[in-house]
Amino acid sequence: MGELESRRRESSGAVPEYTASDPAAHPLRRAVARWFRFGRETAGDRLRFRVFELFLLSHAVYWAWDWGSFIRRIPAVVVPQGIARDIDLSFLVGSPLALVNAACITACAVGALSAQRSRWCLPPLVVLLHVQYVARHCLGKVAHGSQYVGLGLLCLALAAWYMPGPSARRQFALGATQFFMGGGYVLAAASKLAARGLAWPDGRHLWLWIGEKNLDQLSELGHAAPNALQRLVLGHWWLATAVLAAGLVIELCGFLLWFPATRTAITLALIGLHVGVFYSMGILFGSYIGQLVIIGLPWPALIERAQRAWPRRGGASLGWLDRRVPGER
Amino acid sequence: MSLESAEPGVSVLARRTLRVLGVVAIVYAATIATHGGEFWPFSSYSMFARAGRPWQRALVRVLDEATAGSALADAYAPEALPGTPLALAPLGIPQNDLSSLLQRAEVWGDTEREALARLFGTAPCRAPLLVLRVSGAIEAEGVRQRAVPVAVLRCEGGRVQVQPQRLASVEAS
Repeated sequence: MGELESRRRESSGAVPEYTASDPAAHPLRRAVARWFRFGRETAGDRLRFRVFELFLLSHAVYWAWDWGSFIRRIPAVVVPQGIARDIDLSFLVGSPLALVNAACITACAVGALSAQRSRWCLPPLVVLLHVQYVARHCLGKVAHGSQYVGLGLLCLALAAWYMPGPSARRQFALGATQFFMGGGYVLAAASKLAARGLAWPDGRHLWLWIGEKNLDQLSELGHAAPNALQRLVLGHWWLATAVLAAGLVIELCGFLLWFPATRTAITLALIGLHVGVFYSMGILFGSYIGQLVIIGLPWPALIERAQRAWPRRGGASLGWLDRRVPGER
Repeated sequence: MSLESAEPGVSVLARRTLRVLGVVAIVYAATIATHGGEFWPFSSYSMFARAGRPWQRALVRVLDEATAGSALADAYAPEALPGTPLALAPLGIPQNDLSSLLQRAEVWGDTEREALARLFGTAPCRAPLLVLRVSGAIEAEGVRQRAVPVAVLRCEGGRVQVQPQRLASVEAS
């Protein structure tokens, strides 16, 4: 294949299909091409990317304004985090500047939906949202609910800059997010084992967290009572220990998100983990669950199957995906 | 035919992907290593790592004037708290941020007192508020909780005034 032809196909996003049996390819590159599905994008992949992109950008806009409205009530940077450790952000807290920043983030998010401007809008969006995050959390509490959305936005920005062709950009953004989310869960498990070793899943630790979260509920709502699951684990140490051990094992297996063959199973297990965390400790990682549903479940295969079953109806309804592609230059 | 010669598109993408992921992984490790484990969106996800560690959280009670004017105890058991509960959520006061402030009550300066007053700027200016720091720890009989008064908030001239309490070292005892 000539170089000109190769470039033309890359820029159009029509990357030739990869053959996994190629004996001359480097094994790691072969694996990456398979995990990221380069050259094998379907209408289902494109639809999933659209949903993924809208999910990330809508969360970015929501948090930009939510955090911005709170930053106005903060008198000073009490515990600097992130870039606030290196740059003084005192000018931002307690002032309407945080709302100006939120407006800039919104403009970047709207711009990122436009095909021509996404490359120039996504990097500043990530930087401005980082500033908004550290300003919002400068009273000392570190919140983790927005981390995976942030990683997804970073992957979108990296894809817009470093991947040739719209198809490769979409597949990279989804694959890299799966990579970092999977790694994040493993890191979370490693942090637990590094801090407490094999004693981490002691059921009494769960009792302590339940007490803490019930106190939080009392403080926030003025009343609190343990739910059925909490009463059950508070009454049986072995059950509390088993719940914690299961959570730790599921997190340790987070890297299975990288591989197509195990992705669905580990996604369902991780969603179960978050549902368990919600019912046992009252902490809802809603954006994590949403992101797992989008990137971890086999939507492309299901859509492809639906298209085969109803070719006329399915083909017509997904045809618009081929006409205009986000991130296309 | 090899991947290099027959399928340069996929080969280029795979190589570029590995390079980008490698660089991001290095930046990830470097930033969290130099910023206390957190550099949004990078994180070491250590939120539940220190299992079994005693915790401290915030609790606010509405007092009547007589109780607020009398001497407060050094510490209270959860079932013997003075006043009535104040729900923070309807007032838009974040429990996490309030708890973070109270955890550093021993080293409060003007900034922290001002932050506390601003957090309660949305609270109704009707009765004194008692801000407590509740601590929980694992003991032989289960989880023990103790509540220590940290500050009394009064409304004077439309502004919240913070009266810090003397903190007794009963939580660790």
